[in-house]
Amino acid sequence: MSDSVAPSLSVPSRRGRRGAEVALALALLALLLAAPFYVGTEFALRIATLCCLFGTMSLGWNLLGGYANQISLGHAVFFAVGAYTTGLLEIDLHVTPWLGIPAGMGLAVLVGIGIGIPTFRLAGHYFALGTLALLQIGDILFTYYRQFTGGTLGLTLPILGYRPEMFSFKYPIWYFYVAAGMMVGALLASRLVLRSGLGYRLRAIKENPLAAQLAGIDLLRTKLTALAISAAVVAAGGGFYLQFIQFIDPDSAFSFQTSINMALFAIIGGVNSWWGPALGAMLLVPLSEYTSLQLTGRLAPLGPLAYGLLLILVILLRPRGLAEWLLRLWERLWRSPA
Amino acid sequence: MALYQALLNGLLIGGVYALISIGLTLVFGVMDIVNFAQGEFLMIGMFLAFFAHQLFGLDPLVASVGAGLLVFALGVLVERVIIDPIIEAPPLAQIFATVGLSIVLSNAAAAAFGNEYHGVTTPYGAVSVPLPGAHLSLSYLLAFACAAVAASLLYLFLNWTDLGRAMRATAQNRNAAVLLGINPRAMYMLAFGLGVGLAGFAGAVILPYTVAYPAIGSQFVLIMYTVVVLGGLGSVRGAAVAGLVIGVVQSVSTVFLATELQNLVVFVIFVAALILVPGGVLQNVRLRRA
Amino acid sequence: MSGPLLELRSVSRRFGGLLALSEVSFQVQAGELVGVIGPNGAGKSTLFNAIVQLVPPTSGQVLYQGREITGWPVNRVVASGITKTSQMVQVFGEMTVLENVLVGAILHQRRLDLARRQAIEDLEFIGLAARADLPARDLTLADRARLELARALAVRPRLLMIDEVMAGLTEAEVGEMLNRLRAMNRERGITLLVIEHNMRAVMEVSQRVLAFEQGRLIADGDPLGVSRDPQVVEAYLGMG
Repeated sequence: MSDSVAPSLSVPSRRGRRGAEVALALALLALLLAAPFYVGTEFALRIATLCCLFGTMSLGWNLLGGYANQISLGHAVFFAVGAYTTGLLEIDLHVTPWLGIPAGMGLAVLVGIGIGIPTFRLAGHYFALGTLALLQIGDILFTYYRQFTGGTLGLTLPILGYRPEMFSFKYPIWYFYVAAGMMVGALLASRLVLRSGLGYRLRAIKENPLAAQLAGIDLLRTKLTALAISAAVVAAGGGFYLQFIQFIDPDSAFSFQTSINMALFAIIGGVNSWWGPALGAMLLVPLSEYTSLQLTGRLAPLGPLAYGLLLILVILLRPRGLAEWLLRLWERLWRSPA
Repeated sequence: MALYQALLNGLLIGGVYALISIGLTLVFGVMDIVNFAQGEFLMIGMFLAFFAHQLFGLDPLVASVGAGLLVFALGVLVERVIIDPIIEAPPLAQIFATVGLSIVLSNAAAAAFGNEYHGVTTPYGAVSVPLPGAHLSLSYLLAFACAAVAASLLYLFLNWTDLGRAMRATAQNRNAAVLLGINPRAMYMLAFGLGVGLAGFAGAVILPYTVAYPAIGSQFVLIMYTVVVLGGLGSVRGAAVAGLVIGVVQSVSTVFLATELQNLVVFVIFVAALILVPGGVLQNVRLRRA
Repeated sequence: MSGPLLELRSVSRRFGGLLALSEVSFQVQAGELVGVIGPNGAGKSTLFNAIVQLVPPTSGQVLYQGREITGWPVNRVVASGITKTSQMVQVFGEMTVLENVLVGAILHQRRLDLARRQAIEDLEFIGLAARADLPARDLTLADRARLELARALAVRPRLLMIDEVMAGLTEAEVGEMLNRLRAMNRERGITLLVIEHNMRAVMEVSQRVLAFEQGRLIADGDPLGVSRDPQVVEAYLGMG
């Protein structure tokens, strides 16, 4: 069960490394939070906001997929639940998204438990297949029952003007800071989980489910707990996305691409790290937004193509992701002058 | 009678589902890997047949053997470069290596051929054979026949040749196979090539009644997984039977439900199969015993 | 608690056509140190797996503190006070030695700082404290077996079943390990069931020995008596 791809290198000093980790994460975060001061255009600010949004969702995916190696290929289901709950509550019942987003998170937890209980009892691949199926079922149902969901026309939020109590802000910068706050929250959750009993249990399950049971770990309950937190974080991202983009339809909500992106950012950033997924998003979201702007028409597939290649290369060559690589680099920089 | 007609069509389409799924289940049975790029190999087979028709005027059914062989060769290459290094890796690496492969293949096709539909016109494409109470589409029938022949050949290969027996032995117990002098890595290479080669072949034989486009693989993804899970992961005979069942279910459901909901029935069966019978409903001959 | 700590009533386990355990019945009193012997394939490891419900019995009952635990989930059995170490050593390779033990310690100690202190104590007891910060995969096989024992201790079991922890140890290390087993038994009050191929060691440390052959319990008594039992002698001679 052990990670046989990983090179067999022992870790020099774990305490020093922890400090380095926090310092690196804070530096990246500062770089991001200061983004409005050095990015001039609204387009760049939009990208910075999307970085935070996808960083949040990728961190959410990683709580389960990375820490416990329970791979979900349909995590956009929770994104969709978050977005639609928030949107329908706002449009049909005039409920503020400040309450709608938590409601979506709660509903996502229930959906997660519903899919988790039957599939977690089975071996690894079944959970991935199960969430993938749920994604397709959601897409079909939300397209078909158009009287509730707007069908393929989707949901468009009403234009409210400056109503912060309804999550409608005057300047784009406010959306950015809300998203950044959300990502900071997700980072804290990610670190808290990793360094808690839950984190140790998840890692134990990932490495050796048999030994985990002999240590008294309830596999199902532990995975469900992680799934619940994970679903809630991703649903919060979905709720925010709708408020930011003002529009959602079944194809963009139940999107395989979104599901894969969450995992992709985490894998490239580093699934064993509490901040790796955010790093992955901060690197890849600008890249993908920029390439999709530059590559149009016949060249459009080249962006995703590069993505796919990168994913394969990272898995084959850097299975621990860029966060680990950055940490090593940092350690070498500190040690070499001495 | 619509129901009778739907039943007939479903059975014929199901034959092709069965073939694609057999490829998927073979790879899973031998290598313990779910190939998330299986649909993309089908797509490549379709494009190979399309270009064979455009450039050389070959009928897709004639080109299907060549398409299958070329996809087999591509599969062997992919197995060497991408799958072999992660064969013992954790699920995360295994799943996303083939997911990455599927992204690469579909987007490479989109960049090379564009997103337009590519179809061919065959002399039998619009012919249908009148039967009492229904009519039989000749292109469906021919595709079904080709799939049946390919599946039978695979069955004979697995049961009656030394190589096939060696592959089944590897599926059942890798360590024991090594003791028998079987090289498991060669078996993996062969199984992966065969698994995706069958999908490539299937892609070519369905071209007369459908169209090729880069994202078509995703159309088949969940149908394949449903078939494989229903038949029992790793079971060839299970996949064959489940393929026919799913074809019929999908086709018959359009008689009763809106077209948009056609696939819903399939997915609901899929989830139900996952929950209720994780070992597979139709596990007669299991390639591997867990 | 006046009754036995552990009781097996006609426990059988079938794997397809193979009867790995056949109608096994015995009792273990709290505080005993019991050796389990028998040739390879006699069903010793299956016995442990059947008790901890990793491989639930196909028939018969397992009772712990008078309560039937047959069919319980493994983690529930472990939480109630039974665990085991494995012949095929099971550790968390990517985690450090300390983290491995910590995973066991957090079962009953929710506060991480206290659990960590307890884990360090267990590592000291087992003689692995110097390697606490190494990844478990970097340990030798014998050390990994010890690590698994430390993790098992960390879940604070009342009944601990140890499956061949002395394989690959030097003569001196075997002596140390025997002392540790005695200390666990006497000082910590843990009831021990010990599978061991090192016959001298098992005869030296056990108060009582269970002998198995082909899934059946063929002798149960003090070490000297069991070693002279004609059936046991036959089983071992027949094997050789």
